[in-house]
Formats: sequence, structure tokens, C-alpha cells
Amino acid sequence: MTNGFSIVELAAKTSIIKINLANNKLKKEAAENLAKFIQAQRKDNKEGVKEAKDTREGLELVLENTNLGSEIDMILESLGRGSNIKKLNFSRNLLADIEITHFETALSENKKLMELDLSNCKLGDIQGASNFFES
Amino acid sequence: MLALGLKKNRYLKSLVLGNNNLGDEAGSLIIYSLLNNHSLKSLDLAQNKLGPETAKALQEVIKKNPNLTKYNLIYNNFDEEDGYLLQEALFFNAKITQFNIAYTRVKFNTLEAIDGIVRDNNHKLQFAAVPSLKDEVDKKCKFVEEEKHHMGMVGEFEKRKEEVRSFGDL
Repeated sequence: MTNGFSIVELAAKTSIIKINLANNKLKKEAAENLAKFIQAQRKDNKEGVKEAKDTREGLELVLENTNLGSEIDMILESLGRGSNIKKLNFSRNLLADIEITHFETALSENKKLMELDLSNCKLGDIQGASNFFES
Repeated sequence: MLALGLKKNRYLKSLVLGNNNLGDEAGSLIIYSLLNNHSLKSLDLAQNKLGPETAKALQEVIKKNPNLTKYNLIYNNFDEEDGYLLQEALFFNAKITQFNIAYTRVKFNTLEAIDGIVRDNNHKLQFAAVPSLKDEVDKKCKFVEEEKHHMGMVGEFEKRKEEVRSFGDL
């Protein structure tokens, strides 16, 4: 996918409920935009704190086989801060030698994510094992 | 970290970690983290080199977590003993509707027994899901009984009538 691609613009289109970017070679810039997009799925609540939008059905994001690696950490961090993403498919991305530090925050802080697919990611391989054994 | 996140998570309903290389230790960590998780309903850990440690963890989670009802554990390293442990645990949880440990070293008889337990669970849950069905069946049974009783009464009446008639003839 080209660097010119800006998914943030899609955030304005509130009717979108599913974004499928499977089988694209996403570059780091696209991943950064994605992270921004995930954060844009939030609004200020009465106390001025950002929280997930409740105004529409949760969003489904398919990032299957998108050549993402360490960028997942950025996306997970955004998820941890709260977003309206309901389903995240991250299968078939190679995470074997990548240390992901935001698994915990994404899963413990996010209140919207209901389905997470991390199949075929080579998780648990050598360095990737640290994702399970370090706290 | 994934296990730690799962321990704290209260919203995730489905987790797919199939076809990774978790191994027995990481697998058991993930399973143990679900002991007090009340939201997860479906777990896919297929093809992850899971073995006896994970089977022990699964045994506990199956018994103590009634919310997790779908397990996909195919293509792992479970042996017959693990299969037996899991079969035993399944007797304690009647809410499990899907439990697949095919393509492991568990023998066919054990797989069949596990399949039987899960099928029974499904039947019971299907029946319970339609509360009016049981009422309907009870109502029909009562009606048939009443009909039988009524027919019997009619039969008795006709018999008496015949008796009276035959007495009159005399």
C-alpha cells in the first residue's frame, strides 16, 4: 500500500462498520495512520476524558496478512487507550521475533474489543516467547 | 503479557490463537489466566504444541469457568491420559457446546466419549432454550390422558346402556 494512503480520512465517514485491508503490504506510515484512526474512534465524555464512541455499532478491522510486525504494538497501544473497534483480525502477520509490550494494556484497558484473531502469527517462537513469559 | 492482559480483560468474547508455536508452558499460562475470566466464550488454540501441562490447566478451567463454552484444540500434543483428564472434567460443566481435540494422540474411544458428552449438552441446552416446548409437551400429554379417560367413560356409559336395554328386553 502506498505511503500516500490516509486511512484517517475514513474516520469522518461514520457509516463505515468494517474495514478490510487484508493481503496488502502496509508500510509503517499506514500503520501509524491506522493507530491514529483507532484513536479517532473516540470522543470526549462529560468529564472531558476520551472514551470509545457509543453512538454507532463497533467497527470491524481486518488486517490479515498485511506485512505488519512491530507496528502492531502501536495499534495495540491505541486500542489500550480506548476505541470503538469491536473485532480485530490480525492473522497471518509474522510476529515471531517481535516483542509486543502492549498486549496487556490493549486487553485490560479496552472495553469494546470483543473478538481478537492472532492466528498464524508464529507467536511463541524464540524471542516471541517473551510475550508470554515476561510480566 | 498476553496472559496477564487476559486475566484482567472483562470484555473479549472470542480469542483465536490457532496455528502459532505457543508450546505447553505458554499454553497453560494462557489457560490459567482464564480461570476468573467471565466474558470469553470461545477459545481457539489449535495447532500449538500443547501437552500435559495445558491439559491440567484446561481441567481446572473447564470445571470452574462456565462461561467459556467453545474450545478448539485440534492438532496438539495431547495424549490418551490428557484426553481422559479432559473427559472427566467435562462431566462437571454441562454448558460446553463445542470441544474439539481431534488430530491429537487421544484414542478414538475417548474422543467418542467426549463427543457424546458435548452432544448431550447441546440437546439439553436446545430443549431448555425453548421453555414453551416442555409446557407444550406436558399439555399434549394431559390432553391425551383426558381423552382416554373420557373415551373410557363413554365406553362405560354405552356398556351400561346395553345392559339396561338387555334387561328391558327380558
